[in-house]
Amino acid sequence: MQFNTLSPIYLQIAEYIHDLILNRIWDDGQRIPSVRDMAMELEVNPNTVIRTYAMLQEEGTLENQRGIGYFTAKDARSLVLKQRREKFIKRELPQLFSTMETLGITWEDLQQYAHTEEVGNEIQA
Amino acid sequence: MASQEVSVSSEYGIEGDVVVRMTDISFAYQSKKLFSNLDLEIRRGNIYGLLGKNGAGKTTLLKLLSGQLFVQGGSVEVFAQNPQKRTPSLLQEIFYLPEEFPLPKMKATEYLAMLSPFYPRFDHTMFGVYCKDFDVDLNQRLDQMSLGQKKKVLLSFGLASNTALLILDEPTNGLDIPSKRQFRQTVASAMTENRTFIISTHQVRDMENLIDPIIILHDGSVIFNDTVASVSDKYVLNLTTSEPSKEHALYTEKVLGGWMVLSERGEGSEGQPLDLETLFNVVIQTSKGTMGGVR
Amino acid sequence: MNRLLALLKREWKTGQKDYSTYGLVIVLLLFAFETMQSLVARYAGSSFPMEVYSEMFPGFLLLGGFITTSLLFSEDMFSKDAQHTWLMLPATNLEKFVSKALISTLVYPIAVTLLFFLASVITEPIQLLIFGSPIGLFNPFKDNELGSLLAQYWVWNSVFLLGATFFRKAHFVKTVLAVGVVFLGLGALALLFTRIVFAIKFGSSLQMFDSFMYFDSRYLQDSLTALKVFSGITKVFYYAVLPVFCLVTAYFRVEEVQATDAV
Repeated sequence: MQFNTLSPIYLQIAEYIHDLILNRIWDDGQRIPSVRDMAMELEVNPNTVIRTYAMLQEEGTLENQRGIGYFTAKDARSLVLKQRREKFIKRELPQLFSTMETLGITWEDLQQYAHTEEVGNEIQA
Repeated sequence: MASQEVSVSSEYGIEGDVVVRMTDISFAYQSKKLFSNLDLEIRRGNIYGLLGKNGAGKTTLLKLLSGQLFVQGGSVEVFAQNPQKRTPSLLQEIFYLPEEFPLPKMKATEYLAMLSPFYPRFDHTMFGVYCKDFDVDLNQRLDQMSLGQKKKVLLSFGLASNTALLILDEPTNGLDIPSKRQFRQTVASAMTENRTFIISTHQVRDMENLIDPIIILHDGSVIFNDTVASVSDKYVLNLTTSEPSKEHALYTEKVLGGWMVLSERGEGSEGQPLDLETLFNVVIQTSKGTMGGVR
Repeated sequence: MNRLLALLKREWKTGQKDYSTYGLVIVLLLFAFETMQSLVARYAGSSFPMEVYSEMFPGFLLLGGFITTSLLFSEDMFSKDAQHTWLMLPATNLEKFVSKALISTLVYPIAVTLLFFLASVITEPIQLLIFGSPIGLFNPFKDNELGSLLAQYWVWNSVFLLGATFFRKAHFVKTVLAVGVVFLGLGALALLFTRIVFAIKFGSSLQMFDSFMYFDSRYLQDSLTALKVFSGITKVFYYAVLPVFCLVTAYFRVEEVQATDAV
């Protein structure tokens, strides 16, 4: 996994895990890799993974069953979805609107672009 | 993982018992003074990164704390023992990988059979796994291997020895690009809460996300010994296009397209966390001034 | 105990190549000499060759042994590059010293004796086949020479072991020189002592060698018992006190090096 320098690593790992859950690569209530395996896969300090897991556990996305390991919560996906939607509405939409205003792009333009193949692909990527 | 590790604050990472304590140590080579009044505390369960300019004394510090060199003043305690006594009970808990080293004229397998009995918790299975991961041919003779190959053998040996303290002096020197990646993976996987790794390096990019806490050695003393998070939580980096005023900026660096400015993190302020290189530069430059989280 | 075994194994492993080469040289040399003697005996018609083995045995046991012993600590204790691997090995100083001392005092003489025997076992049948020379195996117990040789080896090996730990470089030569100096010193002291004793008894004007003329047969018996006691004491000193002293001092020397940071 490639990290950027824009935000702390433990947050980037949290985002990565959110993505896994959103994209159903990790199902709800599924057992997930141990701290050690995750640290190895991501080539990061195990303590960083512990920090991420702890944070995700606090927000309710992950559960720790002592002696067994970490699991995604029963409602993990809906939690993440809610969180992501909030973030989109509160942070990304205002930026989008402001950019649209600056560039003079209208709602009609947007709708038109949303159905072309090119942009669709880019969004997926 | 134990539950206590989960109820962590942002300070996570430097909890755990003190395994190395250096108090007020001084050391000099002949007439060249290297350390004076140096203090250092190292806690269990962490991968420490030891950074410092060339000649700052990284290797010397590692040799002092492993008992190869003797301090001239002050005291060193490793697992509550004086490493200078070199008792077998302590030595079998320390593995030291030097930056450069001679190895005997024999095959890696013979070397293993010769030295593994000295380490009571040596794990032969894991040694095989590490060597395989590193792509090392155990039937090759050690004295015919390149520095990188030798390092991989010794690194595998050190990781498999399960010593409580593992000291690696510039371990990525001589490793090729895939091996550096393998190095990060292997070290991350070999880490347990009962072990402590100390890795000295000047190639911070090789282990940007691996080492934490960071120890910075400068001008004969430890001027920083804390987690990266402790700094990221207090300070932010921002890119500005106008030249920053000296008052608000703790540290500025001219970059492409403007200035990187380090300032105290206010309520909800946005900004980049520090990468290790910037952290190092900031700490070295501000070492004479005062900076809250930097000691 | 496990660590001592591991140390012994390490000694063998690290020296394996050198020891094997040395052993091979011995076997080849013995074979070559035997062959030469057989050739001479056959074509020059001289009488049958004497035994090469027992002639060469003392040389290899003593000289070869002392050189080997001298080099025993060279790498591990005094080489800048390698000393820390040995000093930092998880074992006590005593274990480290004993492992090396065992190799040189016990393993080496036994190994050389066996090697000579084996060499003769290999060489002799070949000589018999080619030249028809009679078989003369190496018998270390012949003439009871082995015992006294081993005793000498024990004494002087301890001295060289001390030299090996004491000197940082050129261990063998320096030990030989040191022993020479000590002997000269002791000789001078003995001379001085005798001179003083005679001077007290006969007055200082008397030359030492003239004094022998004053020996009286009445005193001879007393002198002989005194001499016997004296030689008894000397033997104990030579075979027991001196080597043990050397070994103990060598051990302390290892402790001393271990108690410094060796830079």
